[in-house]
Amino acid sequence: MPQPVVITENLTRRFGEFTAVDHVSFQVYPGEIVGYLGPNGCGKTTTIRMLLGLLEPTEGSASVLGFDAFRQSEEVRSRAGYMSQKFALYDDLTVLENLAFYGGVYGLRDPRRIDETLALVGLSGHETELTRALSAGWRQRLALGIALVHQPKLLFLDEPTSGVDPSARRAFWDLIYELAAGGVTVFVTTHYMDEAEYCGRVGIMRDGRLLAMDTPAALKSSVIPGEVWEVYAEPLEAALTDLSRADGVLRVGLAGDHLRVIARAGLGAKALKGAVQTHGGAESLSKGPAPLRVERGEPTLEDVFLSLAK
Amino acid sequence: MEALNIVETKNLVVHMGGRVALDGVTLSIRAGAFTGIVGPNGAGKTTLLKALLGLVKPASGEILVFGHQPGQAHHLIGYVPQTPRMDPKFPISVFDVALMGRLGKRASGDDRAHAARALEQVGMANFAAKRFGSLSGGERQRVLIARALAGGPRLLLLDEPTTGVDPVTRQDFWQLVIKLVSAPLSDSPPIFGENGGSRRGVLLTTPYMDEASRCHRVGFMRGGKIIAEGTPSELRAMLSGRIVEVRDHSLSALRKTAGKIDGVEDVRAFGDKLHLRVQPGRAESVISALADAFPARACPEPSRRAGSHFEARLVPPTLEDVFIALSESRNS
Repeated sequence: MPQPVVITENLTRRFGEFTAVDHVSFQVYPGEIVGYLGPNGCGKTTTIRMLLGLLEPTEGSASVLGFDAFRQSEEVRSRAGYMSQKFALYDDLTVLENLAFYGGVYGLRDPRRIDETLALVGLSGHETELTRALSAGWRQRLALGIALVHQPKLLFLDEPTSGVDPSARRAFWDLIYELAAGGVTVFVTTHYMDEAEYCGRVGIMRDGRLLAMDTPAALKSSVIPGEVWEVYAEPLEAALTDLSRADGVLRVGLAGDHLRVIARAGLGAKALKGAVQTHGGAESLSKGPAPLRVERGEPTLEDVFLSLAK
Repeated sequence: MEALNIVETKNLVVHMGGRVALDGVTLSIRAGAFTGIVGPNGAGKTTLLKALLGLVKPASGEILVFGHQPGQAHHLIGYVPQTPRMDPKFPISVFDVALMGRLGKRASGDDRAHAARALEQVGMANFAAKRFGSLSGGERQRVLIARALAGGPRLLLLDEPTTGVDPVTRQDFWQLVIKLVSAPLSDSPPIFGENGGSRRGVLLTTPYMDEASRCHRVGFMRGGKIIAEGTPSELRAMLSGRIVEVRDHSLSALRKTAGKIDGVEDVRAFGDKLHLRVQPGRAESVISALADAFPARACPEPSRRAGSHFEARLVPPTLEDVFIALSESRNS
């Protein structure tokens, strides 16, 4: 088993009374893509700041690339890259100038490395374009190039693809997979369930605590307490009331034009249809809700999150 | 129940800063339903909202909001912005935020009663005297919905309503908004004759497919155009039987092999699995070709990753699969 790139042990950060990160322990191995999923304010960024040595842990420790993240933060930062959606690109500079500037920050003077980076992120031929004229997808590539210019072994991506075109997102992830295959370890924070699905392993964060960390498939099979169903009925709210009282239904929620139900394994579509029919309508309705359709749903990381949050 | 269109646009074209921001948008919004516009930043979502509010002038095309020109239907629209970052010390009470929804609108009647009722509808009546800045993100969002409701709108415009919020809060948000839409409107006279438009309509914009999948109707927006529109089921049906999910402990080998199999149109890495888009009717032959190339075997190394042996199955397409397929066919 190779040496982990990141090891945290009971990593904790308090701000006064508030505990932003609460005894978090995990390990990340070389070439892995690990996601850190949670809503805004759950402690994701505080964790990254501690891993980059920008913030001292109140308790516990973090080792990154074999260095103590806080006491040897210079060592860590020269070997790690960081990219954020809100990354400060200089709008008045060209693509090349932005890259050369940030390369300079890392002490890079070799123009060949800048060219390699441009080629890596697919920006060759766009060197002289003004950054302000770039689309969201191109800006994202440039931000990634800046994070990669010093050839880091570990890459932190903070909400990397929010708001970009699905095709651009996909091209971005193809690049991330290539980097990982080349041995770069990638740590991604996101509040976006769909983005977490791209990661090899996902940690679920809430209120500063790491609730679980595993592959998306393993999380779905181990955390969700039953089978996922989609129930289309009219009126929806009456069916919601019926199903929430039904035997074997573990959770039911409104999901736009249908209900999302987690039911005990083996309960089956028939039983769910029956629950809606036999319980009849809610209070003042003359007719009971008519079940239109009951279908198996694909489990999502949102189901995992909701199951853990209970 | 025949759905009633409360907003209609036809071939709407809007220029912004010398650029075509909306490029021939034709769209209907129905009462009693959620319409979702999903697309990346810069696709034209916000411009579309501005056009409905009458804040930008179309270069050509038609736009009718409740049968009126957009600027004349202001009072029928409640706009809920993305939850703003506000200085927690800014001294405005929850009640005053809700009351803002009455200003510049109908001057008649008891505005304070309307604001109080709106807070009640979103379950925030007990918070009326609190400072807005002291609320959590989810609570602020409720208050902003109350502000929109206070004006008695028939159409709610929600701009990226659950970006960055907790899935639990998001669940609450959806339950609330679904209730607001499904409840009949009793407090104001119907606009279209006897029974028409007796329920609210909702238009929401989002960059997230999973959010869009909760809407009754979804429009995919890209480069100022609606490139497809329909119910989530209709949109997914466009690729039905054509997405194969494959797992193996070595994704890179799998990826190389899969791309060469006859009938595979597209290979997409997706975390611990691959999604293949296959030509219509080719799913079975592709799955058996894959099974031949990757015979069942024990995983060579004790692995901490689950799902590490070969597995291939047909999966329901996601909206993202459909969006990408449509985008590619338009690009080529």
